[in-house]
Amino acid sequence: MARLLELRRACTGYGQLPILHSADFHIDEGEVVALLGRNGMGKTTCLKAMAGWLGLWSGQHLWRGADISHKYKRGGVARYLARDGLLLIPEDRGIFARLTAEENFHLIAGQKQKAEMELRFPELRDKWQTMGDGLSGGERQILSLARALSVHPSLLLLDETTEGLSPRVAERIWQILDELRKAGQAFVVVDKNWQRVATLADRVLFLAKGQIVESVTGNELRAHPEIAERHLGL
Amino acid sequence: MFLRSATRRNSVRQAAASDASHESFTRLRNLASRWRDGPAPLVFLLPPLLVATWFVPDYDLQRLAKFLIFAILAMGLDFLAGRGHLVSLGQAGFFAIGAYSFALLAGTCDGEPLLSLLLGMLVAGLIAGGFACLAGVPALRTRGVYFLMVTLALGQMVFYALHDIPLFGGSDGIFVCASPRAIEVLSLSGSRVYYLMTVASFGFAVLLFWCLRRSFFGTLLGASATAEVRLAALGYAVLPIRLAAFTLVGAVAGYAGALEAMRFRFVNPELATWHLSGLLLVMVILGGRNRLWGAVLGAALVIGLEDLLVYWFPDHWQIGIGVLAVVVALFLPNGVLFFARRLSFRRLGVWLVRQKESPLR
Repeated sequence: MARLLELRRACTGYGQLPILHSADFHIDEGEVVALLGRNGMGKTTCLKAMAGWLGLWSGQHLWRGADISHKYKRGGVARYLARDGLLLIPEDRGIFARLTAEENFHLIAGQKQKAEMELRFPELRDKWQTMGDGLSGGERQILSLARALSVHPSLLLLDETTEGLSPRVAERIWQILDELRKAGQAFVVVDKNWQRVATLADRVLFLAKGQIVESVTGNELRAHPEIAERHLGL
Repeated sequence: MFLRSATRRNSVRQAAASDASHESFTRLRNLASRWRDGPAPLVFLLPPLLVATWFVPDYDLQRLAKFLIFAILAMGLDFLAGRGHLVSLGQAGFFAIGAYSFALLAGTCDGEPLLSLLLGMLVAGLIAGGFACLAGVPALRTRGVYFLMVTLALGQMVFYALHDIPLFGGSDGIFVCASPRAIEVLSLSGSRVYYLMTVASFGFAVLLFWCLRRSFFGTLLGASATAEVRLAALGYAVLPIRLAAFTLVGAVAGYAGALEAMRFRFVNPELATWHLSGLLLVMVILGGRNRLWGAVLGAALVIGLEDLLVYWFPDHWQIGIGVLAVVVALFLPNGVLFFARRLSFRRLGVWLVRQKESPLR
């Protein structure tokens, strides 16, 4: 399977504070990868580095086999990757508060995709004119997913996928992700619910202190829950 | 009695809500509100402005023209500050650049007077836009208060350049050296032509900013205001979007500057003072941010109040504007337009009925 994205000995952080130390991993086409770890271990930082929101201090950032870590200026990597089909849905869902749902959607998608996504996510149907800050957490997440999926991304990064959502909405999100997996969509998911993640992901990476400390398959994790207990401190 | 009819009306409304026709009603209402925020009020505003041409004395026409020029400027600033959160204190600089460009260029073209004046105005706009583009490249790399300070500094640079370079006539300023035939158009007997040009420019500016607000470009500018990283994460570069908006608004300010130069056929560095930029900001805040008609209402309020207050307190009229600004900021933080929106005949009716039914009376 073709390699989509790879980080080699990647180090980065905020200001003077290093968060990610020498992270080494890769994501293949059509693969579902989960990132697990305790709070403050660098999951979000890792996603931001993958999407180019944070530049690497050292190491290599490979996208479709080409090193892009030094190819673009500040902010350019994120833009290049977004145009080339890598989309990050951040913890706050990336919805603009002062634009309507429709305007938010049309930032990257067209009319045809809107009709398509309305069929796929009927909960959006009467929400198009609502302002971004008037949407509920679940609606934001679904709008964000719909927007991302409308451009057929090659890799989707989902930070804290179900954080702050009611169990029913969370279940709907998991359902959508299951469908995506069956459709062969590659994505990286970060979530607290490791049991659910284990049933979804092909591969689960555990992060501790800015490094990938263990990599197991979803099946292995389901068979040996003590792995999760060890790394998540349950 | 009132209550019963109200409940009946509510039940009728609920029945309508379940009906399919409700959807078309909502759509109609959305359309109406979109047009109210759009150019529809022009239909009510333009006829009186046009009729005024023949019935209002020259001095008041001048004041009306001043209001229209400031409304154009304030609409531009509101597009930047309200939509894009780019609060600029340098708009007067571009306004003055447009005015001076027009003053120096108007004489070079001796063709059909009206056409040459129009051409001069457009060229003045282009020159101001060019300066805005040059100034925007460094200025737009800053944010918030820093952007405010940088634009303030740019405006002051324009002021001192106009003040100190001999070509621009120092603090005395220069006269607009239009061709004799063009001067005739602008002279007292022809001041109505000038006024009509201003009204037309105002109408075009309303349509321009309405289209910009509705356009995808307006959406992008609004998005860039709150979250740049998110916009970059969707594949957009923020600087070009902001630069385009800054340039365009600078060009419109330059065009308004040309109109202002024509008003007295005379320009001086006072046009570039930061007081003027500040006054524009006050207009935007008074009227209501991020609304097409908020800036126009603000301009009308400030210019109108200036007339009244100068009449009453010739020496301290600015205190009145200051007090109004404080009152609006405290009690109507969304501006006067927002307050006006909430006043409607239905609310007035409800209020009157309540007064009648009040047990205290």
